[in-house]
Amino acid sequence: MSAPIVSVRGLWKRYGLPSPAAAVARWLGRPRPERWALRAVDLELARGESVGLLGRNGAGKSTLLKVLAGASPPTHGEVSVPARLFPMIELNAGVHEELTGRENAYLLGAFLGLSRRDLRRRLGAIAEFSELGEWFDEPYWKYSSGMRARLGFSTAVNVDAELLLVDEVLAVGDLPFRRKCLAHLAELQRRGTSLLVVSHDLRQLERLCDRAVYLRQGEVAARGPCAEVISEYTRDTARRRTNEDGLPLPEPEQPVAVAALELRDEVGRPCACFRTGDALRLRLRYRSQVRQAGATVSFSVINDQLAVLGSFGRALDLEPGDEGTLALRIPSLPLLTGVYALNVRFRTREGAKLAHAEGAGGFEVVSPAPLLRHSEGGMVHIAVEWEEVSPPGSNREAADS
Amino acid sequence: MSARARPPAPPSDARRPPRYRRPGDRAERALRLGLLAAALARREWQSRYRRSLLGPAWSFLKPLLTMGVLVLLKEAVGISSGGFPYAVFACAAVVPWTLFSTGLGTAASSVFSNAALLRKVDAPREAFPLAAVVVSLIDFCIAAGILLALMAAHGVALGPRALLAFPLAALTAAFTYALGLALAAVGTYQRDVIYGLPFFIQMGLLVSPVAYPTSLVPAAWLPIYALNPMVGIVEGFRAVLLRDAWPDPALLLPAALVTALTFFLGWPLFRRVSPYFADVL
Repeated sequence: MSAPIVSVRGLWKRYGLPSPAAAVARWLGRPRPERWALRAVDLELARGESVGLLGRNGAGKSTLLKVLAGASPPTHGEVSVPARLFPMIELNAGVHEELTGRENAYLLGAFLGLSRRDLRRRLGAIAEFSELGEWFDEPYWKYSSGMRARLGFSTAVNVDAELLLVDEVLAVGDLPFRRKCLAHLAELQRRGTSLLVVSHDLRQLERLCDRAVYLRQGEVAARGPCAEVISEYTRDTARRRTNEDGLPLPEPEQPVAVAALELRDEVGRPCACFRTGDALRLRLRYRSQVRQAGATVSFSVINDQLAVLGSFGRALDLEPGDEGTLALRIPSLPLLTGVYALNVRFRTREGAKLAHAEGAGGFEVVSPAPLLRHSEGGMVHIAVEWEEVSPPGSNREAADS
Repeated sequence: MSARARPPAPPSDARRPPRYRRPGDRAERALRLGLLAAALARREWQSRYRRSLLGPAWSFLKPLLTMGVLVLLKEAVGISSGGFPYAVFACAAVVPWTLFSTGLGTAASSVFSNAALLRKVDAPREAFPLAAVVVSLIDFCIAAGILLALMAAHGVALGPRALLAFPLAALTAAFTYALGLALAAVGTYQRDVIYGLPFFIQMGLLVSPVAYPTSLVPAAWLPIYALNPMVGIVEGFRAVLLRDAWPDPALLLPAALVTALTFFLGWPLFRRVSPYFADVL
């Protein structure tokens, strides 16, 4: 195997100038608490390999990209990036507000080390890919954020970088363009470009990357095949969401308080991880301070992109004082692999808010491999029954015989 | 709860400095510095007057307006101008002074006016102040045309020593770059430096022989006065352009020395702190 395209060993990163005062304090044996953005990070990328970076906000993902891009120096450790890289770090290629899109692309290209002639040749391709049309020659300050993303992405994929650092770039832009970008990234990967992708869109990450690294508070919490790391990450976030008593703090002024929301499997064991098609039992305990006849309670299931996948509820009468219980069973969970949250709401008969408990519960779903083998993914599992499967030709054979 | 132990402190025994390696050797990076400064200067020049009516005319309007103010001042207080028409006398100083003042102002703020770029790429940071000075040099060349026209109009002829204006302009640019590097290095971390700069440039105008000749300065003050490199530079320009004389070495030598000193302090300072620019922008 050839030399890695990215090699990071024992990387520690703290922002800002190394302060002499802190060095003196350390030397005196009284180190001050230091805020490390990255802690002892190791990372290696082979040429042509794509790796996803995931983690919560502030976990150090963007910092790592900045250090790799050379925009920010490491505090300790060794970083070697023997490649021409393109940093898609801040969503856009904008380097100068007054310049046109064309000039911005040109300037950025110059900074990446492309020669003038080379750049002039590529500008046509950049203009075409961006689909900006006449906007390409308009000043950058007039661009919408979607147009900025287009320009940035088009520049990135047309400079023949060996390594692309992709930081949430695909989050903007309209759907057709995003689709085009994904297709183009796949094409670049086929041609041997390496990607280092930061994204909160786990599906996208899984699609683009071979491996993933999960950063938590600046350190590597997990690494390995994409699916495993994603599931580690989602388990972690789900745990976090239900931790500290398993509940979001109900606002004190809410007339109804959600006391507990328990998730159990078919046989009644507490469970946070289900398989598609499993039964799920929910048990909600609540306390009301008001008397309300004909109030409603509703549960909604939210995915990691905050899309509401479905909801269910019923009417119930509230009495002040005692704790009430609601239990229900979802016979067959129609969800595919992912991490999900449950919101609980109480309303009066007229629809006025009695309680909103966002993320009152959370769980993970793993789809069994056979279910996914012939599917193209999606958000929910659509159960079907095949009624006829006759290969071409089988009809004629039947007629001949 | 995943109550794992916090990761250890960084290896305090690691004496090895952090390393960031990318392709390209020293010569290549030096070449890149030049290319990038050129590209930046071009862009700066192209974009600067995009939303202005007068456009590049500002290159000579600025010194012209400064000169107008000085001429008015002269009418009021009466300043000796060594036998030359005061307009010519002042203009010969205002043109290099403008190179210094605008060059310094833009160089000092060049780092954070290019923050968007700096945050993304690994580029030699020295290119940003350098480009600012290069743009000021272009302004200077345009303004020099005005000076020559003014001299012709007043019948002041150029002699062969006028060619010395080129090395003098180079010295001005060098001093501007050296000081610009130092100010950009400090000013990026402490904005006060940048905010206070216009005021200090105005003070500089008063302690440089722009509106008046150096002969007005008491002889006892001269050694200290000459430590301002702009003294030697401005008087040098007057000597070679107006009088076809050699610049006064007693003024020029301190100017060159202070320039060299500024550079050898400003450059390492900039080199030392510039990698962290992206951290604070």
